[in-house]
Amino acid sequence: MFEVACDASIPVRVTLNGVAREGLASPRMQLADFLRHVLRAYGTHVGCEHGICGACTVLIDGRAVRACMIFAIQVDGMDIRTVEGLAASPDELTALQAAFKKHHALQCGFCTPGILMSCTQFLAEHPAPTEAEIREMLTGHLCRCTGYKGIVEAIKEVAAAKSGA
Amino acid sequence: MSSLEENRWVGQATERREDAALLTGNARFIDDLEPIAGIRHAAILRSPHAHARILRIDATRAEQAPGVTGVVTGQDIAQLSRPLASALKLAAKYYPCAVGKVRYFGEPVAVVVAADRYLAEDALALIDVEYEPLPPVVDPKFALDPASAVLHDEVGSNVVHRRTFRYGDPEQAFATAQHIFSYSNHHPRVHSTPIETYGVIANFERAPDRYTVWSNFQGPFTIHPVMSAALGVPSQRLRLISPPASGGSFGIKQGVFPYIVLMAVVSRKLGVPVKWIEDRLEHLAASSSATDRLTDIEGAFSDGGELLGLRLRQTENVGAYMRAPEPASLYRMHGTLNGPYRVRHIAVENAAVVTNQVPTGLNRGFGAPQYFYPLERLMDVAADKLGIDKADIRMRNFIRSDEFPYDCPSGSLLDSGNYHNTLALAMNAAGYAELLKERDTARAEGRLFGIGIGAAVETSGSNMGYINAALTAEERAKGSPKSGGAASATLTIDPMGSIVVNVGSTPNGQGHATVVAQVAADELGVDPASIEVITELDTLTDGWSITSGNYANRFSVAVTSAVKIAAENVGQKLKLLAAEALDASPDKIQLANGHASTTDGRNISIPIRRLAAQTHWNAVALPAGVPAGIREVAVFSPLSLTGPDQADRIRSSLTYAFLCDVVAVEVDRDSGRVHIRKYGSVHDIGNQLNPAMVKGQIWGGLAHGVGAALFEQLAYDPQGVLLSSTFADYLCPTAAEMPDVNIDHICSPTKANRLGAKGMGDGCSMIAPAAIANAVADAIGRDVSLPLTPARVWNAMHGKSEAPVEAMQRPADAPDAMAGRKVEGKGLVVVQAPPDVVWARLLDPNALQNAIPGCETLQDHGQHSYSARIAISIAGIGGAYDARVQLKDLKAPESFRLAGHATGDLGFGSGTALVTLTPADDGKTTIQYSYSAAVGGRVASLGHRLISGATKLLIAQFFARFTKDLGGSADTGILTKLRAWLGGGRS
Amino acid sequence: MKPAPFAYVRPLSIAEAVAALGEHGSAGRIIAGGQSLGAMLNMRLVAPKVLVDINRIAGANSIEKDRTGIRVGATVRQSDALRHTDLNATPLIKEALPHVGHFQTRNRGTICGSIAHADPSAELPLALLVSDGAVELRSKRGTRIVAADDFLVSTLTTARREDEMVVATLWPSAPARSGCAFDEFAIRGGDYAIVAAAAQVSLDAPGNITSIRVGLAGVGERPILIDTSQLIGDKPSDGVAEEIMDRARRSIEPISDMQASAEYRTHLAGIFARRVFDAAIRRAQEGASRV
Ligand SMILES: Cc1cc2nc3c(=O)[nH]c(=O)nc-3n(C[C@@H](O)[C@H](O)[C@H](O)COP(=O)(O)OP(=O)(O)OC[C@H]3O[C@@H](n4cnc5c(N)ncnc54)[C@H](O)[C@@H]3O)c2cc1C
Ligand code: FES
Ligand code: FES
Repeated sequence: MFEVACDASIPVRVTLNGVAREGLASPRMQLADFLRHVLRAYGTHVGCEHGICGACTVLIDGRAVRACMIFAIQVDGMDIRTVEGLAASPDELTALQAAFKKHHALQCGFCTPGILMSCTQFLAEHPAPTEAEIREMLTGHLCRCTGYKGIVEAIKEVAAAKSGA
Repeated sequence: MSSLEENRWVGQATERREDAALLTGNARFIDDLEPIAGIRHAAILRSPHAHARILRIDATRAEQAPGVTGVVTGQDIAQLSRPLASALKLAAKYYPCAVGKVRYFGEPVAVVVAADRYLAEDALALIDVEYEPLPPVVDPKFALDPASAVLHDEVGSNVVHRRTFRYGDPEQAFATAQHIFSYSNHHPRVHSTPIETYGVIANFERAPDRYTVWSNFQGPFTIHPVMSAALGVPSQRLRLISPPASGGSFGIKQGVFPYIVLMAVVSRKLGVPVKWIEDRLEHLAASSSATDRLTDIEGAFSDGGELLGLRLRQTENVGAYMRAPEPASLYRMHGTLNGPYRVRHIAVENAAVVTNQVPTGLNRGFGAPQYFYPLERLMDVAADKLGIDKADIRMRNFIRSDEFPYDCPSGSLLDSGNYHNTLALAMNAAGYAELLKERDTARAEGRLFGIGIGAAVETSGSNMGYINAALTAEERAKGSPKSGGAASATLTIDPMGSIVVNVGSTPNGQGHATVVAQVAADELGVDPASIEVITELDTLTDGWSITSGNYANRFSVAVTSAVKIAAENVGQKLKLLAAEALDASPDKIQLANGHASTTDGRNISIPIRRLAAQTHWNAVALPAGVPAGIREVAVFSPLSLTGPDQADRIRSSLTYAFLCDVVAVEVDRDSGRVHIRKYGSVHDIGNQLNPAMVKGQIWGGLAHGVGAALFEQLAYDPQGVLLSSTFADYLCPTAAEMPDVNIDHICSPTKANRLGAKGMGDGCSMIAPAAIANAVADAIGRDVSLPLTPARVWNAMHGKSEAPVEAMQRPADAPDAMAGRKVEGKGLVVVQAPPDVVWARLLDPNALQNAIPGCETLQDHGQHSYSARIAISIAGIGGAYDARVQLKDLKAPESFRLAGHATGDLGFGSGTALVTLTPADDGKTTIQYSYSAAVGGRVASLGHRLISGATKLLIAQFFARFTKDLGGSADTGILTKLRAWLGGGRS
Repeated sequence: MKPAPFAYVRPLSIAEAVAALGEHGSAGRIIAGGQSLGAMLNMRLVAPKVLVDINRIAGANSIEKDRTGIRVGATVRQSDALRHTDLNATPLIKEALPHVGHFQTRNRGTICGSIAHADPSAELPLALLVSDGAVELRSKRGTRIVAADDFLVSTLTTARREDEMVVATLWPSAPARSGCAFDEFAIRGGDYAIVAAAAQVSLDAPGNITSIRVGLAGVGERPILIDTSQLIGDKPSDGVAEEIMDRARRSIEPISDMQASAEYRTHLAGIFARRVFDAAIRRAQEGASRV
């Protein structure tokens, strides 16, 4: 059985956005802190540390999960995708990112990385969602700036384009 | 003022330049910065009490904990800094960390600095603080009562501000009016709570003493002198730097400033750079909040519904300390007390009180929702009583379009507008005519359908001087005068021709850089993409002024005008250069497409880059009047913003936008839930600089308005324990709760600035609560106070007291030393033993020790007084508690009373119980008990939903153990289950 | 808001997991989805010495179906259960799941974890209770199966002993001519319910009630079943529905909190009990007509 003492720091290896990465973490280190302060991938944000705001949402093995309520040590060996992994460069936004830009789906952008990660899984599984389904998926995120309107519009547009409507 | 048609970029709904970085994880926020080596991390120990004296703080154990650099307490802060000043020179001292006394739940008590945040938090638990709880004053009503406990002994009263004002002849207006209608409300506290919390990185350097602080403080920079004075350094030795990105604010990040001072002092004391990132629990408990306000409003009306006079009595709850810029919330609307109406006779009685709640400050709408809510409810009350349509009564009273600019009785000058058309358009947007029909149909079917209207004047570009209306003319004469609302911008073109505009407007996500580039691009005839915009501020290297910062919608009404002036001036220079280069007269040069070209028909041109570069590379050859290099600093300073006059009239803002919301709701009869069926919102904000961003602000403002109307409340229990302590209790609207809205505009440009924009952003946050409440009142025929949660609406529908919990009520006059969240209950157990046996066992310390769940030690102090150490654990939640219990009024073997209190890791509690034994059949005994307990501290705040169940469980556990070998049965199934569970090998 | 230090063990089998629990006693704590525990750890409401991560136990994420019902393993995620066709045999769990948190929390949160957690307002413990399901507990001492009604003791408290792991929850298949329904009242979507109600009924061929279970959550220290035994044999009618509403209101003693008074909760409990009863009957009747 794999055991780590509370004051030990051990190497945690993940594939972060397709790249093998390794860093030290003690058992209690939140994945969000590990990504941000150990691997210095600051794109993932922290807004509440109790699972509600959704700012910290990342994809773990393809699923949108709160990085504030899972510990780095738990994801050793797993595939993590964060906002940094979506576009090849800021000049080549993905369709989803471009739609967010077009529809003013962000203002301060603090909630945005988490929302983009949720959308990534959601749109892969729901190619033609209804507006109600989109809004229901978004209840897992708080945005204080936009009133959600632009976000909903952006997702609708990407879905429509994807499903060839 | 230029007409927007001439512009290529301003007025376009362009995409935002900020977005690419934000969408790809490349934007940098405060917690992403490591601007200096050797940073250590701070965690703050916070008060679990609303009001208590600090008897002793012992940080020795914490200082020795692993990784800890040091601990700083309130005493240290008081030694190394001065109190934070506010506009009212009160005797009360406000430090960013409690000194001697705590006055609100969550107030900082000590700061631990350690190698990382985890270790810092570990050490918090090792600081021993002994408190002497004091009676809390939570409700502002009770703060007004001289019999209440006093928060600040130096002041001697909780009423810290009082002023009355009179404009026109209100007495006459009320004496002669045909009708007087009134409305009273207690506007609750809300919290802008952006998704990014506060963050501060502070570094102190010696010789000379200098503080450098990175933080997401957003201004107003009127607070800078407050901070430098507190730190005892000249202002240039407090260098504030904002990070490139800030995760939302809506005003509340003004409240970072006490933490800037706190961390600055901590850095000084411990000799290390310190980073503190506020967590959400800290933010909800102890960042800032909008004020709550008690208002009694009266209107003098004619038969025809004309509003002839207004009387307002406003009591503002500023929380535990009067913190700068308060009492500004109370005065933001002061120049515009007539709202959008023509009423000329107004009397106001203002008071501000301190209570055991978090100190207040800027939050979206700042003072406007608290003002418009009672005013707009009053208009509906009057309409109902007079039998006038709700839209009609407003139309009859609106300032008419030919009356602009309109001189308000209390001093504001409403620049322009067409209020009648705005409301008409809003009614259109919501489909008012159809809504009236729909309401008839719905009512005929027995459904609860209502329509509400709200109208608000949106003041933008605050006058520095409005806060001085809080002082009397004599007080003002003694102090230094304040006025104005200047903004500045710097435009430089570097030697390679790159254009940089620096505005230091410290945005928090509003997209200032995009608009600045649009404005400058139009003037300079270049592509906005070629312009670099710096919006972050460094007070040492950038130009700033007292009015700098991001508040009161000042960006679009003042900052953009400064940009325009700077760009115009640079454009003039470029034209001079081009004139020489192209051998034309300067007025025959136009700037477009990155080139200066002649308009004299010759059609020759030169790239602007080249012209600008020349000022650097070939400075000697410049035409007369063109200095070397291009660096243009422009200040936009509206001269109309003078301070209050002798009659206390104050022009509180530069521009005055206007908006109307029309909303239809249906209230579910079964549950009281409010469904928004239709929402129309029309805004007159003058010229729109970027319509897509305007829309974004309207949607966002509406989300705050809908939140405040239906969900959000910063709530305390009567003992001052914070109930809305997590995002599970402070309910922000999500995508599923937002209604669809039909937004429209009319445009009455202002002449008060260079772009004709009137400012916006507070928008619907000011008026949605009033409009929705009007609709709900229309639907159910009763008044409900905010927030209109299902339970409150249902209670109102059924004529019950609205608040689900005991509404704010007076805490017991004799302070219960350990008061807090209240739990009550009773129960009954039948035991298979006669009363005398049960009695003996209840009084037997050994039996008690065995029965009390988690009881580690129990000491008998005689006379039925015990002390015990108890490890309480429900699902692992709990910890060790030191308890004292006293049995009283013993009537063997019938009854006794019990009183006790306990203090432990997660909180404290006290309670009383009455236990009676009665003989039952077959030699059994019935034990009946009733209890009332109050719990406080962290667990009461975080776990209030579970406390009552947990208490029942602990009592059941006690009796299960107590009766384990006696046998018994309880009135609840739980006891049987517990006994089975205990029997099953635990305990 | 960072957790207190804990040691970490990662068992790869149930045997290893129960060995770890046996060894650490009350100092050990299982983490499943972490969607409740994570927040409690971050807030330092709990500070276990050892975290036992069961997420990599081989086979623990399986859903098994047999004649009697469905067995949901310890690490089956709520989102996987929602998608799983085998759970069509036990429709109440599917009805309840969309009310549990959000898409993102269901991705990680487990069925068993929610039941082990025993929040008084949670949906899944109520669903298990009304389904007449059970919990399979394992320790070094062996395995025992505890009926939901006995398992759910009080606020965050169950019949599970310190050294036991919930290895599965057992959901009996719905009989023929039966119907179920779940509904709740929460302030916002995804919030814990102020009142949740679930019903499971079966009818005989003439349409009389042969079994009926109606339960409520959010109204006490644990989910409760309303005593409806006297309604067996009755023909569903408005009167019966009224009776359910009445009984619901009489069988609870809810608390008042920030969001709802006891009286309001009692009122809603009646409405929602009736609502789910009516819906369950309708479905049973439709199902019967299809048989
Ligand atoms: C934003 C948000 C909203 C939510 N809304 C709801 C809601 O509306 N309704 C609702 O019911 N829940 C809600 N939850 C909680 C829900 O998501 C959790 O999934 C559930 O309560 C616990 O499941 P888990 O697998 O995450 O367990 P964990 O959090 O890992 O564990 C919870 C507890 O159960 C114990 N435990 C877990 N598994 C086992 C096991 N196999 N054997 C023994 N003990 C075990 C743990 O030790 C711990 O004490 C919400 C959570 C969040 C973050
Ligand atoms: S930070 Fe993880 S959900 Fe808010
Ligand atoms: S864009 Fe600011 S919180 Fe969503």
